[in-house]
Amino acid sequence: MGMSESPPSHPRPRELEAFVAGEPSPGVEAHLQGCVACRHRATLLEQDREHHLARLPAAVFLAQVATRRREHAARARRRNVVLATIASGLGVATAAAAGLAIVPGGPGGPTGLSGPTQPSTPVAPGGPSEASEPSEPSAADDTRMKGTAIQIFRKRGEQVMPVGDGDRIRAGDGLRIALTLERPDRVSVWFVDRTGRIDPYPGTDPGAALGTDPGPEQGALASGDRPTSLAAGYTLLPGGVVVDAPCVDMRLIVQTSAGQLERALRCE
Amino acid sequence: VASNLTDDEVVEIYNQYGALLLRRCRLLLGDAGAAEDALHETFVKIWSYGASLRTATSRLAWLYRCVDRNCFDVLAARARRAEQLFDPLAPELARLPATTRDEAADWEIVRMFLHRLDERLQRIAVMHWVDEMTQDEIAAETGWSRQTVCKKLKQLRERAARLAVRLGAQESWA
Repeated sequence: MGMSESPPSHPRPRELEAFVAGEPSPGVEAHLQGCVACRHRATLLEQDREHHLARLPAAVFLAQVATRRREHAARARRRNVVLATIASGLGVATAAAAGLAIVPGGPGGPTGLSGPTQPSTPVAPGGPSEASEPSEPSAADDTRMKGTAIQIFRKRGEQVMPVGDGDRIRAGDGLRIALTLERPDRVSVWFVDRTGRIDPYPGTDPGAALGTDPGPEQGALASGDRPTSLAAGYTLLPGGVVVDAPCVDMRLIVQTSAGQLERALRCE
Repeated sequence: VASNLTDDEVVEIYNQYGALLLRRCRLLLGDAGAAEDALHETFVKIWSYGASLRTATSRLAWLYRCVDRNCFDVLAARARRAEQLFDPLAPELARLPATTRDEAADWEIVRMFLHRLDERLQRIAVMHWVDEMTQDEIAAETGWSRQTVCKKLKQLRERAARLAVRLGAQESWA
């Protein structure tokens, strides 16, 4: 390695390397005829290539790269599922890219939290508000996407109320989800809390064991693998969740074949 | 046109350029293991998105750009890990001379803060210290004027000298 002040007649390292690699360069070729030093450099590069290929032949190297490609692809698939669920901005962007109109009906995104957090805890179908079925939603308190709407109901004590703009949740609240679909569809529903933990909504993921934490990726995949078929129109999803203590800001994500909807839930 | 290369094309590229690319990775990363890893990553990308290589004026220049970017990423990741460990300077770096003596010593030090430079400055540093290109050639490749390239290189050298002094002081203190 030296300074750039080598005589101009000598080819630059990159020129010599390109020539050794087989890229045609009449200037370099002519130079090598009369320059012992550069010929020596070229010979060293050629020897280096021979040694390298003897040590790591193309077939072996490509097999290694192919394995790595498969690992990358598998990771990318997992990441895509998780990102599609977690990233709120991405959710909006995806929907926008697909030409979908999202009307955020809920409060703004979660704010930063400090200290240890505890995510919401799924409860069994027939949970907190099974006995008190909410009525169908009004347009004001839901989130819509081309005829698809989410409505969240909160049961606090004996009172059941839709969670509207500015409403907050707190530990002990029971939550139930209602979806309105324009046409029959398969949907998956998750809660993603501020810490990144994902809890499949039990009503749409009967395979998710209650009280277990499969981890974000596994949870997302498990739920994504088992979407629930819903009829067109209004459906109050079976089951519900109870917000555990301490309450953690979270988002409700609903994945349909048309795209993704989300709703922010903020703690008091 | 497919965005990826065929297996045969990748084999050909590897046979022709693999050793050179690995050599460059070693120069940029200063570590044989990391260099081989970077070479693998480079070929993963080439295999999947390397179709434009077919029409490149110089395949080597194209491949070097690709491998350089990968190495810059590795350096940045390495720096992040070091910062997480509150160990901004690897122990072997402390053994470097207190003042820069020649271009090779300069490069060893520039490599330490390469990850902190923007991509154009990274390329200038590599073109100067690794490719040994003249300032005119660097200017032509980067689109900056020769005066700007000269100024940037001067800044890089000064920064390297300051870091060398710091490393020397650290060595003395130790």
